[in-house]
Amino acid sequence: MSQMVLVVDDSKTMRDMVTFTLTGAGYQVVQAGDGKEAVGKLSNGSKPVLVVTDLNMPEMDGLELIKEIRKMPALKFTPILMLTTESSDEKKAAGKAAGATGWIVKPFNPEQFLKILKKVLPA
Amino acid sequence: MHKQIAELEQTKYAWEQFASHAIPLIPVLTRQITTVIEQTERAALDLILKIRSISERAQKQADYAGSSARMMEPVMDVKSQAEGLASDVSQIVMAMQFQDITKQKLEHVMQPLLQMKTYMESLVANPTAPELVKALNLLEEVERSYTMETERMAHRHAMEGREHVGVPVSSSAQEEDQNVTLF
Repeated sequence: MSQMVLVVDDSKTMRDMVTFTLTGAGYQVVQAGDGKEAVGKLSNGSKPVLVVTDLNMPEMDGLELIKEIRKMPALKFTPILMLTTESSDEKKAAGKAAGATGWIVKPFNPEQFLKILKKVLPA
Repeated sequence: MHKQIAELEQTKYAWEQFASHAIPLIPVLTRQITTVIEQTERAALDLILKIRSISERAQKQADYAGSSARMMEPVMDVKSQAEGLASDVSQIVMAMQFQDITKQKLEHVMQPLLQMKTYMESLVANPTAPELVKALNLLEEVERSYTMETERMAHRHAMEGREHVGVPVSSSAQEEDQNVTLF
């Protein structure tokens, strides 16, 4: 059974781009359009191996989403990658403090993205 | 005294004329920007479907080449072509993300335009209203809404009256590495 990744972004283009990359590598993908929708999808007990999230989104942004995920005991140590256009050190520090595992500035290179996944996912 | 009053009235009239033309135009301009965003998004989503189809065909070719032991040289040629195609697909996926990046940049232009509309409307209705100061402060904070270094740079250069410097078309592997931070 393939491993599930939760992809959160308010841009459908970006969600589909990440999904395309991940499904090509054998992952199953669940999409959410913002943090609130993502929390809703996680509240049914589903346990992704990885969460990829944008920063600026309506309803609930990426930093709030990370904080919510870290409150869930089953997902306390799940890797979370921020995928965003934001490149400031200040925001990256906020992401780290919230509990993000890594920070990728858009646009991402699919081949490089899959290499990063191997680094952050437990062997 | 009469001359000064006449000049002030002329100035006021000129500003009212400007505002009466500019205020209705701003939503028109932002609508044009929204239309561009929607059209490029549709085009990007169509392209994703095409790329998925190309990528699946490339994978089938690579699988076939990898599993076949017959006619080794032509098979390796097919495998090499399939790998090249997969690399091209990666580059296309990267380039397509500029739809989202462009969308965000245009949204950062639309927001202050709409703030300017609100400001001008208030200015015409009541030039001494205290809310005007708040609206002006919002306009001064435009730079804070940016998320990308290219936006901040373009803003700084334009404010300083410097010549526009184009952004690089393609990124190198080194630049891509700089875009990744693992905590």
